[in-house]
Amino acid sequence: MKKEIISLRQAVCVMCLLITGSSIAVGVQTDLGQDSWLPVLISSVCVVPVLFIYGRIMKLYPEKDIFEIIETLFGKLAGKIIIVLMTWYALHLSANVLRMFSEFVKINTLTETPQLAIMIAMLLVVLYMAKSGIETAGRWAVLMLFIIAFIVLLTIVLSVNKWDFSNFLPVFEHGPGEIVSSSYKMLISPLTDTVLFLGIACAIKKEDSPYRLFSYALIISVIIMLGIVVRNTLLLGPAMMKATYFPSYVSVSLIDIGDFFARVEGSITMNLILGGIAKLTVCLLAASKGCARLFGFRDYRHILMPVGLLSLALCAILYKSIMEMVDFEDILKIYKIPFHLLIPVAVWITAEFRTRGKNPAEPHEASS
Amino acid sequence: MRRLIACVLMAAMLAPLGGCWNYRGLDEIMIVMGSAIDKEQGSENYRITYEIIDLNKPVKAQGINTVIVSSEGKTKFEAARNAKKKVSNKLYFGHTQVFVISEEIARNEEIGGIIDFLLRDAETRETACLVVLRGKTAREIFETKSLSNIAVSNEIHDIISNDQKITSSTLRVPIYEIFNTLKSEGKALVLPAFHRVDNNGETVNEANGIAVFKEEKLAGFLTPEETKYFLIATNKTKGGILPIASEKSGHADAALEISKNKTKLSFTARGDKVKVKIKTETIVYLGEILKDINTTDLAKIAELQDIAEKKLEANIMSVIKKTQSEFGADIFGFGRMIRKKDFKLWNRLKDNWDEQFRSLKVEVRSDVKIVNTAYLMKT
Repeated sequence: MKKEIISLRQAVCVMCLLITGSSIAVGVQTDLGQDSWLPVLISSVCVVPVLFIYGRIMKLYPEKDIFEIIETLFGKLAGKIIIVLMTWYALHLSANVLRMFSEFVKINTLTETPQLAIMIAMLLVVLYMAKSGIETAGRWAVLMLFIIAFIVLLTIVLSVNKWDFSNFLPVFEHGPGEIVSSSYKMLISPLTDTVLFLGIACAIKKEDSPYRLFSYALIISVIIMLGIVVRNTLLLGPAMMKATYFPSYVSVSLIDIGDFFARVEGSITMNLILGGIAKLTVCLLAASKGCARLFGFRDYRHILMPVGLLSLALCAILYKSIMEMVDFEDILKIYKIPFHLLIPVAVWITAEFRTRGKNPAEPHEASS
Repeated sequence: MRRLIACVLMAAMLAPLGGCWNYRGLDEIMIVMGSAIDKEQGSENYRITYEIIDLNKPVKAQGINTVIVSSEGKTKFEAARNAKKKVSNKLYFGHTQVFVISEEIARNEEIGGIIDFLLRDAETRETACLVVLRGKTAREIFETKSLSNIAVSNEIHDIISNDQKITSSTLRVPIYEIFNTLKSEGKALVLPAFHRVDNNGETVNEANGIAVFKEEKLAGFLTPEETKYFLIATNKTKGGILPIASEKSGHADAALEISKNKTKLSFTARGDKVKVKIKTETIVYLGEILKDINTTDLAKIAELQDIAEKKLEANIMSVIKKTQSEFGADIFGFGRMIRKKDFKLWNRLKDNWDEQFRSLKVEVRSDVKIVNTAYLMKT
């Protein structure tokens, strides 16, 4: 099998879409109302050490995905158990993402279409993309990130006549406890979702520094997310932002320039679909790579379809309603800790230990 | 064989390309331009009346035709769906621009319930307006004639939207702003008010100031005249006429047209005693004067400016006094301003803000500048 390689730029774009994918349409954490921009900044600073760990893992074992690394480090049995956990997580996250996007479409645009039809349509596209390989996804991501960033910028500029700067006042109304909790949610939910990228890390060239990859991706995503938060606050104000499920969609629907340029919220739906496809593709790629490693298949593509269907089935039974989905976020923020922090840290420490004394650029030739 | 399968698959793919699941043709949609919400006398039911665009008649010859449909239900949403009993299709609210409520509903029911219904529905626009119609029922608004040969709802929407530039007699408040006002502290809600008047033998709708809400219920109305000064005090006005008397005593014989207005609110606090300052800066044109006057005489212009300033200050004060004594509702958003600038002070004040507002000390300073006198130099 030919090795798939994507360039640094493509990798950065894939990762940006992975981080911002859901924030674009659904909006960033709104617990703090007018102070919502604060957790974005705080969490993006706090996430740096975590991303450093991810980058270090990639540096120590270049051109390998996390499942391969786990198997090398922990041996057959323990390695398999951890791979099962990580694969389950990738699958669960993909189901989660799919569900959120279908709920969005169901509530906002296609109210009478059965949700399953929406999910299947979305999944088919994603499967096709995943089947075409990581290289295709990488090339696609470059173009799409540009389009998404452009639309976000456009909505910010076009809404200029509706800006209300007093929506940001009073600043720092919330206590440190609330700020920490909201920042933590930001950190755990979109920012460290990048752990999934380790699942397709084998596509990054040895020469490309993973630290640069993570830092570029972080900076671009934080700028996009800040733009979204600032726009939503300027347009909606804290009360409305907290009340709606989809602040970005509602705030863009207010745009109205001289009665003829209005109702551009379709652009948000488009952004959502593009971002969703990117995020889902990475999730499914990671999940099927994990499965392939688990059962010793040589090519992950053969099991993409079953994994996709599994994700679809999971997605349909995951929640009964959108209320349950939002309620589950409280559990998610604890549930994600092992996958985002504990396992990567364990992998990192073991990897440091194993490669000590050797040149990190040339780790020991274990498997392959 | 492969080709055949490919062809069949391609043909199959055409099916979903047709569009969305719940396809509705344009001729099958009942586009609602405006709805009026009433409560039936002596019963618990809501009666909602809709103005629907009639797409079947030619528009060119007779202008836009509308059909009036009304339906009843135990809740507003049920009433909206019950309209299906009378018409062939489900009503489409995506283009609705105006929702009208009757004075009675505004007085007796919490406005939050209506806003929830309007915002929760995916079809209605967050930018639609809510209007209070003075009189017995809200549906009377559709029993009038539109003067511009468009749907009555459209006309009302246009009247409200353009009003602040020309007359400053009412205020446009989109639904999402109503929600924000209701959910945040320190500001009472105002909504545009309309009434029906006779115009050349026909009944038409006219903007009639604003409706003042206290704790989600209607407390009273400001007249169009008072609304003008309210809008100046809250920095919402973009135009309008200031009539003044050019002599110290006597009736109004000159008119100034507002070209630009900027109002700043500030406050000083000594302990928990708050004093609010309103500073208005207005740029006006002299548009009409009865007396012979040489407008190049700067002393005379300064005198006119002085009179206008005094008059503006007095009128703004009297609107504030009225809201303090009659309604006790902080429609100027003084509380919100304090909250935004000093939320620690506000946390101490908020529990009995309504009481404090009634006795709040307010100082108004106005600055009027006449920048031109239109075509004429002398009269």
